[in-house]
Amino acid sequence: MLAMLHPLGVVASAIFFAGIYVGADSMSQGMGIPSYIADVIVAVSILMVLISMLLVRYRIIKG
Amino acid sequence: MDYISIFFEVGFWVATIRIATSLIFGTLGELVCERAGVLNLGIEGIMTLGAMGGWMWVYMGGGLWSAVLFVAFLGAMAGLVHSGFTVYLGLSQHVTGIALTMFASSISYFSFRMMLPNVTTPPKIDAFTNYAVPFLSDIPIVGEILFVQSPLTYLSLLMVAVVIYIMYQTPFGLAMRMVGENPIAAEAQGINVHLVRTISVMMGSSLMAIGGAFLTISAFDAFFFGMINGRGWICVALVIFASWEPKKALFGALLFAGIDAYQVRLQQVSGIDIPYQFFLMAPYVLSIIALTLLARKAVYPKALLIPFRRGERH
Repeated sequence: MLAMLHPLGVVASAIFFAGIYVGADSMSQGMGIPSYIADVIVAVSILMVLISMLLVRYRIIKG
Repeated sequence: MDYISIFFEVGFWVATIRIATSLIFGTLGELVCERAGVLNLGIEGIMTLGAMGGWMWVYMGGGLWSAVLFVAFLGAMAGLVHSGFTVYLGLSQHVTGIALTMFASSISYFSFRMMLPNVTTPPKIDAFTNYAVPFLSDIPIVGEILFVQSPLTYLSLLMVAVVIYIMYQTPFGLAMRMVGENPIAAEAQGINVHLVRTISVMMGSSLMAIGGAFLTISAFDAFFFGMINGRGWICVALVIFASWEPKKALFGALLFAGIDAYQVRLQQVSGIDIPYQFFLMAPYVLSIIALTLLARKAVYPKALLIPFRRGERH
């Protein structure tokens, strides 16, 4: 989804998600925030990507 | 104790009906969504949300029945999110459903941990106790099995009747089935397709959430991580098993629960050298077999998975 069906995009999005998970782990160690926040962020980002993929289908026509 | 004598125990049948309750709620909810043409794969997360929400409501001092109402509201809100994405924006129902499952279950775990940061044993609440229906529960065997159950079990059986009534006897049910089969014809009849789908998804999602809540406020009295444990996906399979009919959904849920209750008891049968994981697997293997045998003849709602955009030609 995030990779937009491109092989290299898979690498980029995998690094993005890995960053979220690792960040959440250190955040939960440092500040006592449950690490489940990582899954929340991932889920919200998937939903946002869905919306953005809808939006790129439409073009604003001047006139 | 051997293989056959399990069937003659009252406890086995009681357990079957108890396990079936959350499946009945979940399957009915998924069925209502799918008949309106929306696949709701958020079911697993919505059930987790319901389990957490219901438990938390009671833990914070709310009543049990108000917890059911609260959970229905939570489920309806999750359904509103799902229909906002899939019905109004017409986005992929699979991806939205999976994302909703991730979101709803992780937000439940997250808020559970936020509220109770350092608990090792899950705190307990006063759950629903079994209610023996007067007179009827005095019938030997049948009375013990059917009429000494949790109030939510009676509610689930009542909901089967209510869903059948709404779906086949009311104008709204007709509209619901119509937008699932042929939204263009429904639109031509002056039915607001988006609104009907949204309401159906919200109703279905509240049923799913109550199914999840049954686990925490009736079957068990605490909330565990991962307690839904794939029940939501089983419900999705059961809807196909039931060929999108509420009556068969009740039957399918009871059948699956029966196999589940049977495998738990089979583990205790002495003298078998089979790892117990094999028995854990059994209900799922049997549901795959049942699906392959029955799903070929299944008549699915025509407009399932197809988003409806007003004024678009097909």
